[in-house]
Amino acid sequence: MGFEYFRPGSVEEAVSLLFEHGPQMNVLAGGTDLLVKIKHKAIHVSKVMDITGIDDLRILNEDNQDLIIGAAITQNEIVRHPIVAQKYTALKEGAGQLGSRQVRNLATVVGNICNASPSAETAPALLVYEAKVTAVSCRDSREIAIKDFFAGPGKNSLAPGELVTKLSLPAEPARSGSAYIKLSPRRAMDTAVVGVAAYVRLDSAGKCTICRIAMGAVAPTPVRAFQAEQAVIGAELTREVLAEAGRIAAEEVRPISDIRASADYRRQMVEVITRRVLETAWRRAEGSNK
Amino acid sequence: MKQEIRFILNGEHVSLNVDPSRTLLDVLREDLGLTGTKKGCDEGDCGACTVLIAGKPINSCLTPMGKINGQEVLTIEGLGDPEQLHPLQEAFLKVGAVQCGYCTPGMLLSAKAILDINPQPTEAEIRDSIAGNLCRCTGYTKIVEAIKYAANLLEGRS
Repeated sequence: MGFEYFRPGSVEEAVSLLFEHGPQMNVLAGGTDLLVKIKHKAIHVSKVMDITGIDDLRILNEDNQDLIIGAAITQNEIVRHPIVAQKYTALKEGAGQLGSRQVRNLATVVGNICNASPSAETAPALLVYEAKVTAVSCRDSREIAIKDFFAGPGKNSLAPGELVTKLSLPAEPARSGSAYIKLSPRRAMDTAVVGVAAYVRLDSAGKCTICRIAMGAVAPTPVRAFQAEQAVIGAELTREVLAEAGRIAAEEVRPISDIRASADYRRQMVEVITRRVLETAWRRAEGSNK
Repeated sequence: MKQEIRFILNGEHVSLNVDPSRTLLDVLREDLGLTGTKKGCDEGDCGACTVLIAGKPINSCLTPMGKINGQEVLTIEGLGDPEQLHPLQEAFLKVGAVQCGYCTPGMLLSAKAILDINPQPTEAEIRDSIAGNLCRCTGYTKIVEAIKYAANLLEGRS
């Protein structure tokens, strides 16, 4: 493929390489997106910085009860992590449906969101957990709310010279549940036609106190369904509430027609999948004692 | 610009002076003559290039050599040998899970990876574990059967 290859050993070294080489330097983590683009000659790349040799980016643990996911953590490491399985089910379900096992052993969660595909498999889950993205440059470090991170198809909101080092997901209290459902014609190795994640937190009486719904492949970026969420907050689980949330979510999306599905089909499927994923998340919240 | 890359390949220490941007797949086939690892799509979809790194299956076509430094790599050449087949190879022959053979090295390594962590996988788990390995001949039925057969062989021996 013929590019100059850099493998920094620390975040400091990585951000100074980014500063020194400017936009010519491409960040590689799993490589499952970048290397395919290079092979297709979709982009010309002269310099690549592989960040997977940086120990500080290999963190995956609970810090003050927040879940910290370092930029070198792979999809399969997420899928297999017991805390993720127990508390961040939607993320497990998103990560577990990305590509093949071989790809999931290379591809990272942070890489998935930095590539900012509208259908990014882990994006809806990260949106419903209201994850924070930590971006570091030579000069400073800042946190970006995940909902502000996606800027357009294939575009993120990082400034030149910034490197994402980690994601932080807030602690999950008891009586909360989440789920992600992906619609695709194939069961493996396919991109979502529609992907929806839901997060529900309940009070002791079973009423919804927090509801978050996020969708992939239905707008230029992964998006929250803020209006549909409002229809659920304060409600109890009924068929009518689920139907109403689905109906509103379908009105909020801006899908396109492409090789995978028409805009109309996507809109109708948002209604169906939202209903189903919300019910699944709700049942999990009812059953959760974490 | 070439760099020295040291790693363990099929149990033996290897040190190569190579361009770190080249893929593991190309270096295995072109520099080391290990052509058991196949090049199919060359973009991470078909799984013909599957090798194990630290026991985990990955697409060697998407792995630059720079990442291999210090790693332990297993290719099909390191799985059994003609005199003493690995139980998976024995099972693939016995059951008839090989037709053209192009997907077979990748299939065997994906199957090894699942059996190493889950010695008695369900059929759904087997199918999930080879979802990243395309076969255009067999329809997968015999491959799934062979992996079950190998699981039983391995269990009987341990």
